[in-house]
Amino acid sequence: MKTLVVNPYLPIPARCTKIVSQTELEKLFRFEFLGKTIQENFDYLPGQFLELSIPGFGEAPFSITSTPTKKEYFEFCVRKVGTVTGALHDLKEGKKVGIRGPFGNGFPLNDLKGRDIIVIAGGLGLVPLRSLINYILDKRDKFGALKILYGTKQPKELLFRDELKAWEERKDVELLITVDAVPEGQEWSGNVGVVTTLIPKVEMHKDYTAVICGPPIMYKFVLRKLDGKLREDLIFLSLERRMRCGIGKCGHCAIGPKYTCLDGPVFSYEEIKNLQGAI
Amino acid sequence: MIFLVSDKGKLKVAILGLTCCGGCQLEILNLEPVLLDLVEVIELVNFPEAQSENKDGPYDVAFVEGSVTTREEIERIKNIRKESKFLVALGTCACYGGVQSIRNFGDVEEARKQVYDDDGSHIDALPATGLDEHVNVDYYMRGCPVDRSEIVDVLTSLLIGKTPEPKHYSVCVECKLAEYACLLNEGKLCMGPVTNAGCKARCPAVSVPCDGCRGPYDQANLESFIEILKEKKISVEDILRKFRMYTSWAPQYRNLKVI
Amino acid sequence: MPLIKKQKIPLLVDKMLKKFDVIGPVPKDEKYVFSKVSRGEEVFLGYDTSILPPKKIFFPQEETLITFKKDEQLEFKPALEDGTPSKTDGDRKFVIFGVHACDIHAILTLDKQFMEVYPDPYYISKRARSLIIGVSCREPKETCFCGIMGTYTVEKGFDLFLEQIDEDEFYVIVGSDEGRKLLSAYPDFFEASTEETLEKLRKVLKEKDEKFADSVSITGLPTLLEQEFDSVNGEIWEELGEKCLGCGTCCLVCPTCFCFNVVDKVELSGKEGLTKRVWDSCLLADFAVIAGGFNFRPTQTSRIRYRIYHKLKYELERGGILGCVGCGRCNIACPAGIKMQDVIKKIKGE
Repeated sequence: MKTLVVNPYLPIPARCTKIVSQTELEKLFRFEFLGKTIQENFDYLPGQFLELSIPGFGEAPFSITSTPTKKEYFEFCVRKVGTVTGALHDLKEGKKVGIRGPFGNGFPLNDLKGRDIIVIAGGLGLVPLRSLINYILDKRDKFGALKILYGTKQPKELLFRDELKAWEERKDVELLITVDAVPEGQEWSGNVGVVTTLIPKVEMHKDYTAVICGPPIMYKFVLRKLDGKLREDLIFLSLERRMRCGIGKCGHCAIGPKYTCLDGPVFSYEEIKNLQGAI
Repeated sequence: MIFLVSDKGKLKVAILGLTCCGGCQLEILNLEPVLLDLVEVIELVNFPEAQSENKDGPYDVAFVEGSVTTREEIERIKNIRKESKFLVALGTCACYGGVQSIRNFGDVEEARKQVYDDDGSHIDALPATGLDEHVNVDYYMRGCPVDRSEIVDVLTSLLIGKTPEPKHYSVCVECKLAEYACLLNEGKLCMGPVTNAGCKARCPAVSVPCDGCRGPYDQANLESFIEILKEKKISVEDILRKFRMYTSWAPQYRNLKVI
Repeated sequence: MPLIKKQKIPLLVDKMLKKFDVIGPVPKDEKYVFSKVSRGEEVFLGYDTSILPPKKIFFPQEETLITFKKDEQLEFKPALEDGTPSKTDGDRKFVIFGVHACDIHAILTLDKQFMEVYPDPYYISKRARSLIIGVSCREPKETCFCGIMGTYTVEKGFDLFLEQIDEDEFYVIVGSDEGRKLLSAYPDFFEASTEETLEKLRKVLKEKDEKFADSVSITGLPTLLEQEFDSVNGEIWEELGEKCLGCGTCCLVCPTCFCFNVVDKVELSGKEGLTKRVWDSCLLADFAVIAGGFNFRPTQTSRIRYRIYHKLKYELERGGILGCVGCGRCNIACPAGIKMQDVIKKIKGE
């Protein structure tokens, strides 16, 4: 019997076309699928992720940081923390990796369209949110107000500096940036304090949709600060777990009965409020 | 990621021994089926147990077996460390001090007298320890002796520039995967549940309980394990003897009290 | 429906071996394992349970998913050319002879996990080539708790099911067209049932309820678990966490556990290699660790609690099927003596 099932485990080769260093630890990687048709037909949603494989080193899930409105390439922004990320940081332009996906639900564009939006990013959390922000900016008339709160530990950890500047200059975006602390030798004239300290600084009505992504520890503090201000079904969080397969098989990314790779990584607060081990 | 070799170069390897039986180096020689493939990609710069022409460092990788038991060996291992980019503690002696570290629990003077009569003054004996009491170790290849496939895996990793990844679970995992019958549940003192995997449960494979030669894995629940052994009416002496067998000097076992 | 005499079963297996591979329970070190047989006599239908469940046949402990080459070009290939994984035995179908009711329930759980949403070609290719012949248990083992889970009988998930009605007779229940075809392919081995045998069957099934059913049931368990997560009575999890050795054995012998890890292996040349999956366990310390080292379940308590919740609550919420079939393998295998039915009883306050 021939079982003609598409093999969801099979990576497709993609070439690295550009690497831009972001900070001491993070680099932005641009990729293109080798086949032109594959690249042209490749579509995804902001907030989805791909499994990136460096043969011999293994595979790891990464949020896509580019926006699907740019069809010629896709991008990851990766911090060097382990085996696969280490190998990726040593990758040279022109070299190839394997890609599977896109996986996960992505940000709920239908819930976002026509609404006023507040984006709250902590550290690397800006990576998937950058995809959404640029998507919104590319289709600006489809969305309402856009406010962005972004915090990092220290000034030198700020990502996408050129884009931050461009967003700041736009009249239709309100961007607030803060750093937890300013160590000696680093220059900073902006806000100091954790990202939650920015929340009272922006005006929001109850129907704002919030989209949040940051380190695991950040969520409960942000949620506490938003408590009562916004509708629970309009607060969306992108969660990080260890998604080994991306297709709901391997069990690693389970949060209670949910699989981050299938049901997430984006969840509404309402959905996970009572979910054991979620936040 | 660690780049030890350039694109075309071979990995410069030293295989050296301190105080031990030499069995782990022998395991490298026992890699016969792949030995020829291996020397295609590595250069054995220094391997006194196997070849007559040897050079000093620097090395990309040094595999050092044996425990450190004399002042001279402390100097040697410090030198090897200086000359090596990546240091592998080869085998349980190099990782923990091995069987001989049982002597650390007794009086060395007395032992010296017993073995050498009254004239043991020429023996410069220190407590038997693993390499990491004196130098930093990059990878612990446990086992008495080490598992051959792990030698190849570590070299393969280093050749592609990947830091070899140790296993963080117990022998039980490999034992169950191979579908061996549980010896502990038969009432035998099997160290599987607290011992680091990597041997593919080679003793349970032949119905011999695990002696714990690979030492404790990092999350070993010793307290519960010892309780279980006592419930099986295994004597406190037998339990302690088992923990003292191969890796008595492992930090988790060193001060272990079984009461 | 027909009957088969006990002494004819090895002969039937011998006959089947001409057309199929046959996998059945065979003795090993005073226990039993599912293994390929070459003679009908080897299949031991009176086995109590096997060390590993039959899931290893569809979802092996280790399985190559992808092979890769990274020389001039980077190339990935499924472990099989046509997109399906390796078929070590070619296209030959195989019969799993002697699967207990609880294990058939477990296979239905696995089918849900592996055949829905993103169908898993590796599982499906083997599952599609399998025929399942179940066999009844006459007595529950002390460690079994199919009575609590309601899994000592089974209505689907098999091609044939042999219900033993006395010492040397089995009543044959047909569960699929494939099963019906087996009956007609081997007519010499079966005989028609009589009113007398049907009477025997009814009696056996009635006795079975008495022997197997447990006063404790799983009704209301998910709700109770909802309350127990952090509550005062949550100390039950602390207790378990202190006892648990974290060896992962319970998951590895479990017929419904499906978690796996994915690892790469390269040749010495560094130019060729493969990606394989290996069974994993949520009780192992680094199961829920993400890049950078953060562990979402950092304590043994959180890990064992997760496993029990997954089996008794989460799996039910996800797929409508309980993640535990009461086969008792974890009870037998757990070196710390942790018993699932004791946990269930404790939660239920019995």
